[in-house]
Amino acid sequence: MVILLIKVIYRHNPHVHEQYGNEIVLFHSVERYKKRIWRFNAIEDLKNLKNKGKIKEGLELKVVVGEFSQDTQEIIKHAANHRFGRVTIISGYKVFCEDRTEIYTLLDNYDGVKYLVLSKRPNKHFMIFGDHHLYIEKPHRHNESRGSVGIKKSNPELIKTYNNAFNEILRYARPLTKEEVINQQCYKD
Amino acid sequence: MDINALIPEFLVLSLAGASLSIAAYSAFRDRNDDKKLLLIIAGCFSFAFLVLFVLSFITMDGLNTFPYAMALVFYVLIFMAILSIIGFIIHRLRVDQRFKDDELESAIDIIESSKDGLNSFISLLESQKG
Repeated sequence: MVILLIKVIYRHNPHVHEQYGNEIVLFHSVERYKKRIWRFNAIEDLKNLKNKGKIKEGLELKVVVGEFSQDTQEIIKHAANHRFGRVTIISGYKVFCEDRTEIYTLLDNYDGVKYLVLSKRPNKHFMIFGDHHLYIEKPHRHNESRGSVGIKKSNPELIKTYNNAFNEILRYARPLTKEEVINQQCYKD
Repeated sequence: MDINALIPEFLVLSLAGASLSIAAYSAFRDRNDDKKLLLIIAGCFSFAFLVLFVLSFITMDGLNTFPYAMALVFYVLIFMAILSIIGFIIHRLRVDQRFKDDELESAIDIIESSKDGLNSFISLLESQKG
């Protein structure tokens, strides 16, 4: 009886919305650690599916961010280490100065990672994990209560919208080689 | 064994259980399923207390009219208090549920606003190029 009760209470009960996806998680802006873990999980999730042969095509990670920051680098590294053959990052034209060597090393170590920059800093940030999971960030300067949203097993239509947008943005992006990264414009502290 | 001998101990036990689990509930910072579990435990304890309380009332006998009236007042007051604690627990459970629904709503807000902004950003890039 007690076990039954506990099972009912602890039943995995994520937010579901037909129009958006199966597992919708809202992250508040302070939950930095939780966001990271969620994205790591999403990557491992897909790797496991791939290992079991449930995903035939190669895994791909598409990222649009403001800056190729340390947080993003960790996600990228994790993906590259977990059977993601293609990783594409599009960011604004500037990086944080101290990140430049890190990015150089990253691009040097992983061949599947492509880094492109836009002439303007993107204001919409998102990550597409394979064709399954979606991570959307709401950049906020003033309102601290807003955060990001992670969607696992996202609605195909939604993924398509983001994929199309990604491809559109890709057309305006300029690829950077690792040598160019070293001389990239950067934010001085 | 006489049930009357057990009633006081059970009363204390269930009351202590209810208050401890409510105290633990308020000590939790984040909203999650553990909190909900504590609330439900508190609810069980309160119901147990209520049952015993009624039991102790119906097994009560051998009182004159005046003490009986006083005891009745006491019983009614405590009964109401316990009922309102149970009401509070149910209220909290509902608030937590509503909070969860709100979370979903703001998540959807974020998705929508992000989706709407995609095209405007793309056309911005286009205009800069052209």
